[in-house]
Amino acid sequence: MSEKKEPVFENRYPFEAKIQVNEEKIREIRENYIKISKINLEKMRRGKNRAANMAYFENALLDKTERIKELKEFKAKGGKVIGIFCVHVPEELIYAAGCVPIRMSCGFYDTIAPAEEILPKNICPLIKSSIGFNFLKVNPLFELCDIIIIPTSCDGKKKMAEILSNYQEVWTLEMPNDRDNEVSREFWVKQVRLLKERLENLTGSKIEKKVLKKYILKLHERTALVRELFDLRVGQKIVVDGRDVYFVLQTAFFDNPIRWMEKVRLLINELKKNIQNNKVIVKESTPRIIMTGSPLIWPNMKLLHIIEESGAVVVADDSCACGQYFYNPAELEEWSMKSMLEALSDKYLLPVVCPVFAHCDDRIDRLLELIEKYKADGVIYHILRLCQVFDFEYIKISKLFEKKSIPLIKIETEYSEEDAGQIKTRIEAFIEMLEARR
Amino acid sequence: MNITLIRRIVQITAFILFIYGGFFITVKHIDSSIMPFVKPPEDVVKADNLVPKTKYDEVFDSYFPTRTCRYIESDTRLFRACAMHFLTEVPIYGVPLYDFLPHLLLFLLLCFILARFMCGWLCPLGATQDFLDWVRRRLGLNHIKLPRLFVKFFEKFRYVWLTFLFIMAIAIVIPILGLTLYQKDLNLITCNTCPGRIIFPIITGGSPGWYLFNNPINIVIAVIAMLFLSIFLLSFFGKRMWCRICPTGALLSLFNKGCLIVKEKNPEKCTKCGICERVCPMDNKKVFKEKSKKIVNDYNCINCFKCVDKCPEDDCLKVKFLGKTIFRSKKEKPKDDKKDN
Repeated sequence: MSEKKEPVFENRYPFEAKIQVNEEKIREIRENYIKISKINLEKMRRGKNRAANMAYFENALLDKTERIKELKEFKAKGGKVIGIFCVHVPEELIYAAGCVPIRMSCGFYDTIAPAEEILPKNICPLIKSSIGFNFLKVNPLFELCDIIIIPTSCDGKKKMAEILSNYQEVWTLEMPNDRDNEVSREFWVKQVRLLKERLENLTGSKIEKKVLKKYILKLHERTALVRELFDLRVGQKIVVDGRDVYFVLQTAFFDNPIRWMEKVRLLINELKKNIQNNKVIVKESTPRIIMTGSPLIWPNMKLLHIIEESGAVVVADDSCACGQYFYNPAELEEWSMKSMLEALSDKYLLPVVCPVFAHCDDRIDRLLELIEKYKADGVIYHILRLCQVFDFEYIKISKLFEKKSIPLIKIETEYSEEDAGQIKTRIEAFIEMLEARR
Repeated sequence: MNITLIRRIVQITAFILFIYGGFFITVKHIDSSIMPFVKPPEDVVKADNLVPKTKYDEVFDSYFPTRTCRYIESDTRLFRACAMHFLTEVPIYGVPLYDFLPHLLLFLLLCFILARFMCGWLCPLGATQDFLDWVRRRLGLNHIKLPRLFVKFFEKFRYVWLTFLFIMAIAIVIPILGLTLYQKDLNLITCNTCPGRIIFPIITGGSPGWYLFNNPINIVIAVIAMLFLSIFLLSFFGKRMWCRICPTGALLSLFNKGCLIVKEKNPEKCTKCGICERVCPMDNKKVFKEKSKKIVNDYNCINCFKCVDKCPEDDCLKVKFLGKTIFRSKKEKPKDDKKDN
């Protein structure tokens, strides 16, 4: 069981990756996290006609004790909790191995400064924040993680794997950067197979076909639900705003998927009723915005607050923290282990619109499709400072959108609230322009 | 009701009709199993057993482009033969134009309307291969993906083979080439090497008419036939192996890009998830790769529309017939209630 067929990354020169922060400071940061979450939720509650079923998700976020208890019981029974980053880790495999994945990305400003002690200055805030968030145990779920799986998507994630390995066992999933050729796809299938072997070694039991099939179908259901939720925003009557959808999707980072799905189903039913009863949250002429670019991860809802408080509404996005998270299904027609692994590896590589891949044409197609389907008036391109991959792609996209005369605005920002005023002015001008264009 | 289910129903119905359809009609084919398809002029055919015993003017005495085999017990078959049988047999009997033209026109008409739609939905050999695939799936065995090299090779080979068949069909009637002596052996290489010629008689309770090894030509043909039969049986492990080299399929493929059944793709809706490629029984990459053109008909496609069935995006893939959408891809709706854990 302990013998591994393939050696995982072994950190031979570990250093004591300790952040020099005293307990009091950590407590302060933790409290701050709850405070900011509450402020965010407060802002989101302000709108009229908000769905009542959002309460479950609010509770799940603020009070994680129940989930922690659940996971601790699960661990006591011999289950493993696995921390994951990005949308490229096949969750079905993890569930089928009898483990539970928790997505660990974070958008919390306060953990950036402490994390800079062990990180270089010029990397994106998401990496800094995630490392700080987890090292400082602001996220209580982090302590429960046995393994962290990090796909080697962008440079930040790659090196984050190395730094986190001082602290905990980290598995990397080597991702091909050019997914258009056969070789990379075969390579990725092998990687997924390797992950399966590692998981089998970890738990000491084989992943069975039946179990994997069960979880593929279950998560397929989740995809269908999420798509249904997104489709509710297609029509002219808007009953749920962008913030809420982002928020709901991000509670799935850590929540029990079965319970989460049930609650989302309730939410969808309520929203459908709201559409019938004309209980809209904004009037129909509100400018419709598509969000793209770097992921906005809780509690960094700054940009969404600004947009939706300035009289626009976010109808769709292609972010890995919301619109892409559960969007892609694993369709397959035969249930042999081989074809299931192939389907899974395809699901987590091919349709994902991450900018780490060699070209962004597929992402542009997706954006154009979103604009057409959701009848969007404009696109807001969010770039986290120092997120190079999104920055690179902006140029191509802006030139194309100029040609197609689709309004596009680039907002480059950080997690701090400092530039909120400036962004607000720019977004308000942009929204005014959109209203004038109609 | 999804497309694949409709297709299975159509396939089973077509299989029963083509193979056992003769039971449902009152007038029987009473010709011998080596009878030519169209009525031969008597001065060309000398052998007694080739003299027709019936007149060929019944409706069902027509042919169908895909494998509706002649070697099935004459009681059970619905049509006379398949298109390849017809096309390669016309030269040897010097059938007059007025006799074979109606059949040829019918063939071309069906090609222009349906092309390889017939392979995916109607062909009994295709249905048999799908059945083999189904058995494998039920046994829980992995399918073997044909290496790209073979896919490419078969794509070219089938046209070489098709050309060879037509050349031989004509060459054996030209005295100067000296092949007329071997007319009996070289006649109908298409059928003598076709897996259907072995499979169909067996499932209709006849004998497959075993090969003669009495001269080198027969031995070579028998070896090729065995090779083709094993490729056909390999469909148990791979999908639709025989369809990759089937001469009728090759012939129908030529009509695939201009026929009335059009497969359309909306490149913007496509997320490039690769599902269409993975479920394709012919390992076709066109639907998956195409990102600029709208029409994604491909020479190699058997029009089974599995890609359309499995595509997870609304309206990304559409099948149009005469400009009217008959099938379109739909995303799956969540089930309303689900209470298992």
